[in-house]
Amino acid sequence: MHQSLLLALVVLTGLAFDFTNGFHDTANAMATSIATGALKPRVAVGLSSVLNLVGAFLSLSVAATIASGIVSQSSVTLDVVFAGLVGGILWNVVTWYLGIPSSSSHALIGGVIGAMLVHAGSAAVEWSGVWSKVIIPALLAPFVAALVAGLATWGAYRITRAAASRPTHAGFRWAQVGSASMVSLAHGTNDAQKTMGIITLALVANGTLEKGASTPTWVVLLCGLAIAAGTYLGGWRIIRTLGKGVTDLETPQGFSAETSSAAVLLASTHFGIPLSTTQVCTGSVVGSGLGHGIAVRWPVIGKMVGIWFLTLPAAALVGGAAFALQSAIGGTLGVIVLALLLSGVCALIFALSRTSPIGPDNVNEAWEPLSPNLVDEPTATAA
Amino acid sequence: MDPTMLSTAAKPLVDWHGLGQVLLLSLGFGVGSVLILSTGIALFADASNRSGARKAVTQLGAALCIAAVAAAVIFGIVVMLSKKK
Repeated sequence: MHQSLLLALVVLTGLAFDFTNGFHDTANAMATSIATGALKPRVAVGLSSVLNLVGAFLSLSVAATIASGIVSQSSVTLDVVFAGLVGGILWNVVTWYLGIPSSSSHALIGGVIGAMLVHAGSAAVEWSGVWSKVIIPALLAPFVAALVAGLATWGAYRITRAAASRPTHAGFRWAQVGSASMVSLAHGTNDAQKTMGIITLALVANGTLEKGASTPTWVVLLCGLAIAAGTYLGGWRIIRTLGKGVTDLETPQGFSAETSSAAVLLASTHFGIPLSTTQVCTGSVVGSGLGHGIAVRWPVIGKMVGIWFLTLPAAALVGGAAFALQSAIGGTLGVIVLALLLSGVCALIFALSRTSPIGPDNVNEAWEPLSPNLVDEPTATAA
Repeated sequence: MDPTMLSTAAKPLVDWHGLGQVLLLSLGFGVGSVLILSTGIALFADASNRSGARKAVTQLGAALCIAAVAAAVIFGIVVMLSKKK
């Protein structure tokens, strides 16, 4: 009874995590297209949703692992996975409420590390893997993306500065739709697979599937639908921050940012360097502002970077606390209490968000005006 | 997830070589694609001011730029699909 209930809850929370991953990451692909008016908000999230679904079916090289190379796979139990998912989901929901783009993968990894620390102690965590796969890539990803996007934006404006504005705007508008679609597709081929892997791992651990069995079609379908549904609902709060809050975007910047993001993400996939989609896309948007020589809002960026530093420890704290609570109550009741607590906190945060709702109608409302001095003298904000 | 990411014990903490490759490929494809398509857009916009053979040549140049970026997009999709576990 306990094991069956736990398996069912791992599958459900896995799908819930996939859903939060979708609405959290819509901004990565579509924030710039929405901000520049290249696509209407509803059309943008609809397109991204379809491409995420297609992406989920395109790449089915699913690994039945969770936080592989970061925690000892032999110590992973369904209880650890469940508590880790709770940590990842709660951090995703909190950062969504704050309107801050943060890595869903890092949140999940943090949740699993926290649960694993309580379950099996520090020895079960491969700290060198935490550094090499999470912390160091997180420190470098925004700079790599900002450099690529900055150069691309500078070049795009140089090349088209003498061209007539109307056809140029139309050209970049369509190009931006194409580049944003590439990022959406890449997201679908990458992120939906993570949840498929977790659910497959749970099914193998429960004995429902044999070890090494391929992912069942229903898992692929449900994961694809969950991430697509999350994407379609659109994390409007994050879309607004990334599209309007970082810098003031035009279509050449949006195109350069999205193309740079797609190039960095595909290169990192090709060479096996795990760079966060969120940090790459945010770095690209910053780079597109700097490359055009306009100001970026450093206080907004500072807030994002602060959240990025907190993601791993905060999700670990929640994951660890969730595992401890579940273990302290014990048995089926512990699992049910944790599931109810997760649902309750998510419902509370959703209710809080309704006091200052952001949706397709107000996602593009003007942010506070930029000071042109901020580009050359970023410290001027502190003065 | 790529199997090369699984065995970290024997590897240095920072894979500078891999990161360098990511940076170079990103610069090549990211900046390259944007510059080529921007050239295509500029040529396309310029074609409306021209006529006769010059217009045809400008449009051909724009089409070649767009075709080059389309090839890069196809390459990108192939990279996505060839991702290993």
